[in-house]
Amino acid sequence: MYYYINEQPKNRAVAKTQEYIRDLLGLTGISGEVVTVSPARTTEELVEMGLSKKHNTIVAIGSDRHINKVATFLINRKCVLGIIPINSSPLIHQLIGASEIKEAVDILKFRKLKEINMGLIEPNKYFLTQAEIQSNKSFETTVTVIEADFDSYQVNTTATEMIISKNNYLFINDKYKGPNVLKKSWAWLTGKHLPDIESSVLRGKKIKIETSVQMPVIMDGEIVAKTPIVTTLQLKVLKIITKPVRIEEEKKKG
Amino acid sequence: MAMFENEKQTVSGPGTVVGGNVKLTGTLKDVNDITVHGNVDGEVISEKNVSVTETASIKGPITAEIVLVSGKVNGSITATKKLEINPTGRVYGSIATSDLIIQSGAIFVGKSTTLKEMEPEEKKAFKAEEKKESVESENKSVKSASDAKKNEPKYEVE
Repeated sequence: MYYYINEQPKNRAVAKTQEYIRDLLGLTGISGEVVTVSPARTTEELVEMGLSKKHNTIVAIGSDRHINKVATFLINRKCVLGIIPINSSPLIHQLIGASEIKEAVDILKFRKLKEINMGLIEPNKYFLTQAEIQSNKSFETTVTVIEADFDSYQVNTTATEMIISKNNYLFINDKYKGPNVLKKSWAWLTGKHLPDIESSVLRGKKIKIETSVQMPVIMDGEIVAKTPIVTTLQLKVLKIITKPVRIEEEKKKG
Repeated sequence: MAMFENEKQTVSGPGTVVGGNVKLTGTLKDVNDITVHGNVDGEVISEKNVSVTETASIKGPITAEIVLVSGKVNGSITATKKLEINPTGRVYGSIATSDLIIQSGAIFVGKSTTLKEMEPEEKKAFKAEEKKESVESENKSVKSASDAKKNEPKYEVE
């Protein structure tokens, strides 16, 4: 039995989309209990209600932030997470393998389960997609990447942008480093490709990020922590419903 | 930002890239490819490829299947499959590999060792081939000698 949690609609368009999804679920034959987050009922309370009613699938309908919140409360639980994205980032669409609402509903019907990793900003901020540290000015940063107790390294660099993915990949970039405008223009005129040699991609089970000035860590447009932070890779902590291979094959044939 | 849009769901992924303005200290280890544009002070270990670009400088040993050096390496290199030092590459240290390419202009100061010892069967095959070649060359030389003899001008003795 499916338990659907709608995000509190921000405008009429989102409310209409939610109504459309409800109709679509009925037509697809996977209708269930639908609840909506409100000031009186928080996401956490609704998830707990769903779990207490022994629902085996909780579906988050809404933006990245809402989906992430629902996912956080389902970590290491037996319950499965379904996703119907509304105004979500491409990362969420990629995660479930659907580019539009109807496709996301179809995916729920087939119920193909997949265990996925999540990132954790210690002590308790989980993320399903990515977390970011961004600034207009360059800041110095020291990153300690730990793969095992005896196996670690430290990186010192400057950055304007740091992105941590759910698989604990860290992307570091400094937009003020690299070729200047003149070089870029010349390369563009001559049709030459300038390789990006300033960006870094690091990966580890545990990553400690320290910065010269305290920086906010943003997740789905919300500040969730401030540096220094420690992120860890949480292996296969959540079960989600994703696109079955059969649908992909049918789509390719069609 | 969708920086990791193409990232795989598994733990193994695109590999490690050390940017140009990065100073890295410690043991850099990855099961996937490692590309170094910056400075590394420590060991670099990969189960696949290690690429040391023109702007890179590594002080420490490198171990990988394939190692491509276009920058500076101060330390030993062990490449189980192939080691290539490009014209801009500088290697100061011992190298061990089964396939070595040093391009014109490259600098290599150190000892080179062939990593792969020949198996006994390979040795046998190699010897047999060598023997065959020597027999063939002998036959050729005999043939050419007899041909030469045939072509020798004949003088009639009165």
